[in-house]
Amino acid sequence: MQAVLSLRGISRVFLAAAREPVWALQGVDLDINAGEFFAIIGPSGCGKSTLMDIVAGLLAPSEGEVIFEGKRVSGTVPDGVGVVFQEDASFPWLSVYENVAFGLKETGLDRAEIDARVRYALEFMGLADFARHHPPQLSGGMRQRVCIARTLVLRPRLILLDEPFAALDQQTRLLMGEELLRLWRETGATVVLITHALDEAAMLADRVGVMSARPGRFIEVVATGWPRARDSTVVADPRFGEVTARLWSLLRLESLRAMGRDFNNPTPA
Amino acid sequence: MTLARTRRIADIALLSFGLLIIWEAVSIAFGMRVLPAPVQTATRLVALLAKPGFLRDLRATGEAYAIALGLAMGGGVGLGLMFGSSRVLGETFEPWLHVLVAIPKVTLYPIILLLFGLGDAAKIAFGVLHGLPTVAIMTAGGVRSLRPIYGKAARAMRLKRWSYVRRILLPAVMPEIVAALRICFALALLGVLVGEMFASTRGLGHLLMASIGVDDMPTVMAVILLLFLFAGTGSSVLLAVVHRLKG
Amino acid sequence: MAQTAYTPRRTHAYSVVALLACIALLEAVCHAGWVRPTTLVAPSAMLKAMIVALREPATLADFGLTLGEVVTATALASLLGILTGLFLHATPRLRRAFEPFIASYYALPLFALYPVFVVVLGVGARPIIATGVMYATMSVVVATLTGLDRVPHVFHKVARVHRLNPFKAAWRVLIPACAPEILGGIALSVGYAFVAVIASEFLLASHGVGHAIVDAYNTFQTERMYGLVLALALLVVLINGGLRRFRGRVAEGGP
Repeated sequence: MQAVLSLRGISRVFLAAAREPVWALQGVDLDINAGEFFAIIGPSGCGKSTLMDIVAGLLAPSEGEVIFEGKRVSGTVPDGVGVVFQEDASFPWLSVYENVAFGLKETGLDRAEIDARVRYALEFMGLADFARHHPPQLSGGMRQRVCIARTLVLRPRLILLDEPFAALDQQTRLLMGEELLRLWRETGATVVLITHALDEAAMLADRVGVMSARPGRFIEVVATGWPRARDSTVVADPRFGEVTARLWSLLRLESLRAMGRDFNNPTPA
Repeated sequence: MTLARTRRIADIALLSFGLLIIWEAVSIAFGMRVLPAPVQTATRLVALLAKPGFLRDLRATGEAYAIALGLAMGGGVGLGLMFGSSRVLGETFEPWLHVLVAIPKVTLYPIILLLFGLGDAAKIAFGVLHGLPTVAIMTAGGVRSLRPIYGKAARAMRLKRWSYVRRILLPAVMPEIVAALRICFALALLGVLVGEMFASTRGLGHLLMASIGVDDMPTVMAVILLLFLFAGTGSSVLLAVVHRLKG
Repeated sequence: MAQTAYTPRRTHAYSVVALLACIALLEAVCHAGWVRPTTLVAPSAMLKAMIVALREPATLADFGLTLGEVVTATALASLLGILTGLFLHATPRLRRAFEPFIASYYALPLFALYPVFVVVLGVGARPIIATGVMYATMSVVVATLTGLDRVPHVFHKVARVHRLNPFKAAWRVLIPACAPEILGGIALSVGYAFVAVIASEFLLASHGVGHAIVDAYNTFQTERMYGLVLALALLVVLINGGLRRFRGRVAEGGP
């Protein structure tokens, strides 16, 4: 299978005025296959969000390169990439409908087509009844759904999600996870999900990449082997326990390292 | 000095230089006669500072300004202390001050002229009118935000009223007073200046209008430059003092 | 911790009573002939003169002209202020260099530039509007900068994900996101514009309320002058009061 997204030797350093430079990422290598659902987990502060920004083209790497669909990512966000952020990014001054239609206004599609796509996305995300509402009137979970719908409507080929369900309660998370799987199957896109929840990664992904403590790099990629048509009931499968056990054994070590780490010594090992 | 601070100062110097260049460009665009250039203006200012006539005007403005500032600060702090300490007085009269601040004092100028006549008294009145209400309001606010323990400690020490004011109240409210001074510094200047522009036979404001009348643009620009330098420096210095006080 | 708490009703009652007492005092003093009628007139006469003046078409035309100048100055200042705010926000180093100038801006006697505007732009409404713009712009700049600072960082990212160029990003995301702050700054700038316009009209104008007041002053029509001043003061207080209420609502509620 051809890798649709390749990370080669990505490093990123942050220079602060009077302090030591902080290496958030060091030597990240990864290949993600087309149509794959890939999850990334790692201890706090390991640079997951920074990596996401770099993959999306929002941030330039200090070293290395990102190749998406055969072309180098630099400076601008490539066409066909959608991003869902951890923070609520819904626009409070627009209605849910207008929020979802936001990106389509630039594409030059005619109104009928825009309307059709928006309605479809609203329907898909269960927001059809709230088209005229404004985000401040909705719950956190619904606002995230608005953001996902806003991304979905542009038919991205690569969907990046940075801990999108972090602010939600466990039940909502599980259900949103299932919706994400539906979305993935429906669009046929490649999905990269960053999460700190082991079980979420193990349940949703084809492969899970485990990142080390800062400076972050991938220490192992665990394959789950789930069929494409899966939902949250995979938790009952014995393999689920094996996967999560493996993930935790890797993650635990790195988490301890991250917590015990001297804050003033971030230079690469 | 840290690298960052040096950079900032260098940036500000660079920006100032850039603004001078823009001034020069605008001068050239409109014509030197209509809008003198920076060098021309600076030269004229230096020349003026040697002329006794100009120095008389400068003194007139300076004196009026000093008096206005003093009265505005003194009266403002006095009223502020009173209004802040006494509930009755505060609740009755402070709203008047707020209205006074809200009204463009410009609208009251003709009345001031009627009451004080044309001359120095009116100028000073303008300056005081601009500065006093704000100082009073800020001082009163400072007094009200004082921790009650100060008053209790004073009573426990059986301090006389005046001692209390002098040794506890005033020092405690000093940050607000200095902040008010910074604003009053500018407002009083504006008031005196505009007063001179309207109705005076001497002073910098009058000189401004007179120079326009005889089409002496270099003097106009020189006076404006002097005023801006004075106000800008004073404001920056006071801002630094306020920052230092607030810690 | 406040020593005294302000209860609005009691505050209003005391000051209103005190104000009425002052007005009554003035009335009495004037009627008793203790003050020259060319200096101070009784409040009742002021009121009467105001009503008479407001009935004249010429006076209403003057008010219309002045208001027109204020509105034009505010509109121009808003546009200029928002654009400047956006530009400075996008160039942090330049913004930091500008900060001392911004902090001292309103300390400078900007009004001294009015005669320069007259020379450069000619007589009439243009230098008046220019002075108004000069006074009003900075408050919009500051409000825009503060508002943009408060825009959640993620909004900037969303704009880039949607591949909006900087202008589109500003127009479709940044400005709507900080609209309440910007509107607050514009409301504030109206007050500044008013002051600048009136003062300019006092000085060198041939039309407008300021000119009408100066004219009444010069021709010793003291009652008419007070009437006009009263009308102007009431107008400005109403407008500023209304705008302050608007700012309060906008600040809490959003669009």
